Amino acid sequence: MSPPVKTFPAKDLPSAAQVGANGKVRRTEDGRPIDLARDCELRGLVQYECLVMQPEVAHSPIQCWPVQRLFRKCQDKNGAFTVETTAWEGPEAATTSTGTAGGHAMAGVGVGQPVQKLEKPLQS
Amino acid sequence: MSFLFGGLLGHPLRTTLAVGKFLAFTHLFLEYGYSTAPAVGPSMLPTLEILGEWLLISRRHRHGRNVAVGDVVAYNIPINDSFGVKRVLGLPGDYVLLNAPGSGNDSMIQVPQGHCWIVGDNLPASRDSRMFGPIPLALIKGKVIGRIKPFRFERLENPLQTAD
Repeated sequence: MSPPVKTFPAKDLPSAAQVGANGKVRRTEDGRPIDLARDCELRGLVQYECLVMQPEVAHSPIQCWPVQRLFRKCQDKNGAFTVETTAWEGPEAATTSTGTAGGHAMAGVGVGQPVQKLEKPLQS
Repeated sequence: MSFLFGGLLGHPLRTTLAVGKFLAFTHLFLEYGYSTAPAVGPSMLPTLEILGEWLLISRRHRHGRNVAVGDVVAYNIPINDSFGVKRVLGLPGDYVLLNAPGSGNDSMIQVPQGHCWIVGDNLPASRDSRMFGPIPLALIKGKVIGRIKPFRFERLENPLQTAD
């Protein structure tokens, strides 16, 4: 079993990202605190919501809708770490109460809308 | 036939040693090199199909060695005695969403030391870290290198790309 883990809301990500899993404060190579937007490279990964159209039939058509997830690849003195920023700076963050200014910045990057079902499926 | 009776079978000790060496080398290769395994289920759609998948697994990545966020791994499922295939979304010290994006819950966690966070590509049909939490890296059997198809091999690339 994994040890007990504390959860935090996505809006607290900038402060939560300052501490490593070992409890030590993270610092960049030149000794600054980690700034997610400035120090970390934005990356994306797509997962899916798939529906088997006729589960009782072999080789049934399958429809999948993309779910965009965003990550920031950061570097501190001890090496690289990854921060999922989907709920912090994705399009959804800008429309929720926990949204941050990062959400507006993300809209300019044009990654797309997560959890939006497309009219045309990716695979059938 | 004369080779068999005059060569190998004529020297039972030598034959036993040769078979033993072959078995030991095979075990070494499958345990610490590369192995293959079938994968069944809808949790990794559309990356892997529900049926008929045969995967090449690099055991050199066992226990999470050199595994990166975005890689697909084979692991021992912590809640039953079988193995599964999922995508790694967080390594020790990384920060991940506790639930799927769009679930209405934006709670996050930091992956504890010695653990990783794995999620299936087909979010509604996957039982993964969202259900049983971060898993120990020691449960990772290896990294899925690709899919073995009749007369061809499809490499699985890490999809974590620069978002531009």
